[in-house]
Amino acid sequence: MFERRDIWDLSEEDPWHPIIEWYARAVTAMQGRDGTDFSDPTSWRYLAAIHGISIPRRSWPRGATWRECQHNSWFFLPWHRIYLHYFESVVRRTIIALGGPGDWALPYWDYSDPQRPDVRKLPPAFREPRMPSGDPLDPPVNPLFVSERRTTPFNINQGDEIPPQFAFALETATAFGQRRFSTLVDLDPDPGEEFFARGFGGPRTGWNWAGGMPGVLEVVPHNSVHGIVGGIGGWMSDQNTAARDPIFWLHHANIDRLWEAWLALGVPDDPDKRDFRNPSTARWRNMWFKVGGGASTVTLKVREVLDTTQPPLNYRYSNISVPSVPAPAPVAVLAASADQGPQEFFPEKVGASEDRVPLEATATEVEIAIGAPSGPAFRERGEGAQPRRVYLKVENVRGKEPAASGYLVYVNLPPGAEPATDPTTYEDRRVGQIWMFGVREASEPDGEHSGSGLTFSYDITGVVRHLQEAGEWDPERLQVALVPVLPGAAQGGDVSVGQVSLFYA
Amino acid sequence: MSVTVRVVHNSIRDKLRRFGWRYPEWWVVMAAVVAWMFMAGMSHPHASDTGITPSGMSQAHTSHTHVSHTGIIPGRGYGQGTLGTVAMVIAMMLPLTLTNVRHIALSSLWRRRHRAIAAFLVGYLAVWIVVQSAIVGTWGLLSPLIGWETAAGVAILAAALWEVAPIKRQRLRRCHRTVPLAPRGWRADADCAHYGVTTGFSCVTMCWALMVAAVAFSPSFLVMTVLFGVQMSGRYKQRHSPVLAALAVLGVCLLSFAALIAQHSYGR
Repeated sequence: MFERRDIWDLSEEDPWHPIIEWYARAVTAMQGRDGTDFSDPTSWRYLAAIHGISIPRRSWPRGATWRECQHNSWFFLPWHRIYLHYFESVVRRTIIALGGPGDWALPYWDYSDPQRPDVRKLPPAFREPRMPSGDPLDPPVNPLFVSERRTTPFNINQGDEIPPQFAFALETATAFGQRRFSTLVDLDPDPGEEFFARGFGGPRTGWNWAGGMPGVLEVVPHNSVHGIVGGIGGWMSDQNTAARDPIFWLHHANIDRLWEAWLALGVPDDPDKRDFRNPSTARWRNMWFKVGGGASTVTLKVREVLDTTQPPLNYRYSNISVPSVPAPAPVAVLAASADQGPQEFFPEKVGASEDRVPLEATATEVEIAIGAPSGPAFRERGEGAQPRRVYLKVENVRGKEPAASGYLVYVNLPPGAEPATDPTTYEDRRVGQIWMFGVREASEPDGEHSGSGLTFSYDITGVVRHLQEAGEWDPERLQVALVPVLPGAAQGGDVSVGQVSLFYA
Repeated sequence: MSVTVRVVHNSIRDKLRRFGWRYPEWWVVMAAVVAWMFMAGMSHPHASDTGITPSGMSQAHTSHTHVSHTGIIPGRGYGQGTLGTVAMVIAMMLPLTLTNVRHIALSSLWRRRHRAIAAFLVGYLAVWIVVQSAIVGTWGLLSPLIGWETAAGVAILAAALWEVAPIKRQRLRRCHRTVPLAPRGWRADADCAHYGVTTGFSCVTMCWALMVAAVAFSPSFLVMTVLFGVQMSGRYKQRHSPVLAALAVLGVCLLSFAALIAQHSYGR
């Protein structure tokens, strides 16, 4: 059994702990196999290209399984688990060939623990241009160091800490607050599931589906950490280059660990906690993925990688406890919040922006005229019935050059509010986050994601209730503010939102 | 009406009503089903299990039209004629749009849902009916000139090769595209119709070759059904195999081709 350990635990023992040093030596060896066309399936660039690469398909080596990453899909977690397994196997074999330990396992980077501010820094071995071993006068280049990372407003390679005001981008509470992996009702398709039920692991999709709605975990901390580390234009910020940065793999090991931690919340016999489980449908469990090439190719079904302690995976995490996990809301409380009515939602659109909304380096506001719901499901509940749930959708986010790494979405900000200065203010009006990771790929009409862009959906019922109680909810008009997080240059950027729309259910 | 009957009646009515709310695309499915029934009805009652359609042959002989120099009949079934063209497009193409239709419906204000679907379908069908008419027209001109066997052979080859062409996979992704739709007014209708047109063009580039093959072998119900299955698999299956699809196209078309020729020779 292999054990994946916390990189910061290892770094505190020794910044060049043997596990880290062997990783670096293996990366050097794998980069040495790159050649000119990256055709060796155990080379660094081949492995990175499996996630994404920008060179056209006609120039790929024969049989290459490249550009296959699954995002905005309920296969996001299992596909990346298989990908990591393949990567880890290649690295381990390389380490063994170099004379290193046969029990080497990939460490993970847990950046979310508020009690350990150091973990919000890039681990030391990843920010040193040279390795300490070898000739002291001419130490070898450190392959874990990548210059294409964020430099402003904090320099991640200089050991700057991700400032505490950006803690929202590292938090796991929202993802762990999701009771369901994929949909509102796991087995019975819900009428609005493709629009509203993101769940922990992502919406039901086919293979490599259109750029759509990511699951909650995929947005934060997955996409957010990609954007924070990569900055504007850095490797980690783009699906086609992300896996070239050695920290990518430690980031994804942590995302994989969070999946295990979320499952650990489930108690099958407890009606309040039995929802924290993987989908049971064959459509998900029997999906298979082929990763790699040549003799080392791995083809696995999703159901074969659900227990990490069993072959072929054989690993566990040294720690799957997660700070600030909210207590799961009891079933009875959820039912009460839905007016005790039947758990059958018929969401209907009640308003939307009329034109595209540009996402710039400064805050953008959009006003939505709200109409009265006219659906029969709503009418039959009587005159003046309140919506059980309210959803805000930010659809078709498209573009190639983001002006900021991400955006915070607020509703009904008071006049003169400037949440960009301090994102911790107005948290009671913040409904969600948008991160730009993957937007470029999702915007290519002939790419793998159909060009629809990214779509984000937020259940804003709690925020609306709060505004109603405060007398600040206008049933005919909604103000939505999109506030940039970590903007780049003051000008520039071509990303825009196709539509912001409001739904009642 | 007894109380029990009334309760059952109300219960069924309520379930149907909720089904309609849940699946606003239901009437598009119904339209496709009706079109399939129409096509099945147009198939010759003596059509053999292999899908060979002697009706096409006899029609051609009796009408003295579209007989090639070899005597083999060109596709002369429900794929030709205005009604047949529309029926074939509705039967074979509308089911491919169900996710788009659902996107349209759920992205529209409730009272506009079905109007939005209709606007989408107007755009989509306009593209397809023009293209399908062009396919039928071209087939009608070309087939007698070069002979049905040659034309059908080219159609089979094109359909099979197109299934494995990388560009087809690329175009297929465009069919999954979603777009923002204006919430109300003429812009909402225009957006839906425009979405129908763009989806129609994506579908044409994805399915043109199969539709040519379908015209070539119409009114063979078996060929039509297999080609439709291949289209549906490409559009909806989680793991669609282009090679298997190409083999299925080749298999059913060659089988029908061989049987047609054998039948014609026997008939002589």
